[in-house]
Amino acid sequence: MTLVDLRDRALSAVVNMDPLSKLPPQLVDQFIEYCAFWVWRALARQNESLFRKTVTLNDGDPLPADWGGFAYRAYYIVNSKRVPFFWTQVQKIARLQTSIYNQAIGSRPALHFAEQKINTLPAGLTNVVVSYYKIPPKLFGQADSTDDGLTPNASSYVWRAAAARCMSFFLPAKQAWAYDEKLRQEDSDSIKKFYVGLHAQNVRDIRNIS
Amino acid sequence: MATTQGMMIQQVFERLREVVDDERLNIGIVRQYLNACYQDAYAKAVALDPEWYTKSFTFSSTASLAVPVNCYDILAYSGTSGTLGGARILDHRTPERINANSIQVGITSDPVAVWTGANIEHTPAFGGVLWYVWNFGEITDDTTTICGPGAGYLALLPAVFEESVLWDCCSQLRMRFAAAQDTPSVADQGLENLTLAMNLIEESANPDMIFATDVQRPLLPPQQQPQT
Repeated sequence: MTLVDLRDRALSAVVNMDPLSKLPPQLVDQFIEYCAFWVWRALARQNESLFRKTVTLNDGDPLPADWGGFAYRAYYIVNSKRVPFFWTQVQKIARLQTSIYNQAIGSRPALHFAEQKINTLPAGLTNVVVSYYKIPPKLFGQADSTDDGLTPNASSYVWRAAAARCMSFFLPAKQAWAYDEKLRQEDSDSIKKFYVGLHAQNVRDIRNIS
Repeated sequence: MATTQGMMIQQVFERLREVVDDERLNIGIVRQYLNACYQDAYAKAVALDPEWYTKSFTFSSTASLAVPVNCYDILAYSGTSGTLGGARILDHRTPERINANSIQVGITSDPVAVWTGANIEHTPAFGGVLWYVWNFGEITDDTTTICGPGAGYLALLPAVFEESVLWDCCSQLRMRFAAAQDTPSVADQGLENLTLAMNLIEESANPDMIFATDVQRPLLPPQQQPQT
């Protein structure tokens, strides 16, 4: 759904509280953007395949602008065959460089994302196809026709959450603060669940493979 | 996609229109609260996504390495090709105990490192790559990238934290400004009284309207009075 559709729906919901509609549309756009992000995190936990995307990177390239998290799949081509990468911690790099038993080599390469970049072991590998979860586009300050990048069924959650945030502007100060605090807690929990969910997905994937 | 400090400040003002009366006067306090909120978010982000804060630092062979200024914790060493598995990072009480032990002491192919304040001591001297967790201090410019994913710059926080930081900052600032309005400080009251006094003085010096009863003498000398 586009930004203008979401804004119209959110403002229609708020109009009873503020008939003269003194809320600036920029503020509504901010709330819509953040609610889209919030809904995206919930959706990504439920069905991460909705937001998977691939990008081709070389060793040392920065992460793409819509990077949300590694989707635990990467490969490059050797002798016209796809060779998968395994993700590693930086604590293990030194061992992977020197150990004669478990060394990262071209036919069994490793990767990690230190410095907000892609890094390969052995160094200098190119044309690595990396799967990742894309985050929704920025809506605040963008054209009215910008799409929220979510599934169609998600739009009602977005505009309702945005409308709720707009309504907190008409509450008395103390009540508004309590409401904001509640939303902040929910948001914080949602971020935590998102990262924990990604990690759990990774663990499941590794178990399925091995 | 990248969100800068300036954009964060703008968004805070956008949400606090009812409570903040003068944006230019209050930009400093907003910056101060935002910075506090970045640090709160950093504490969460570094626990949930440590890889985001992993940085490398390449150095040539040395016995004592100055720790990079933004180093929060040392993660690992990746030594030059001869060193087996990089370096062991020791607890700061351990080196003296193993120094005399010919089996455990650091050797060229298996060096040890210990973090002593501003430096990391190597036994023996070696070169390689230091991997560490970075952090950041007070952000006072409006161009630093605060939230966002990679794409050529180093963002302080992953994009998912932007909303969280703004809500946190706004709720704290709303409380702060609401308190200031309900209970004005002595300085505020003094300034208000001074403003009233200055207004009265200015009013008496340059009256807007002159009534007949205020005029004690003719405004112009009699010879210049217009003839009617």
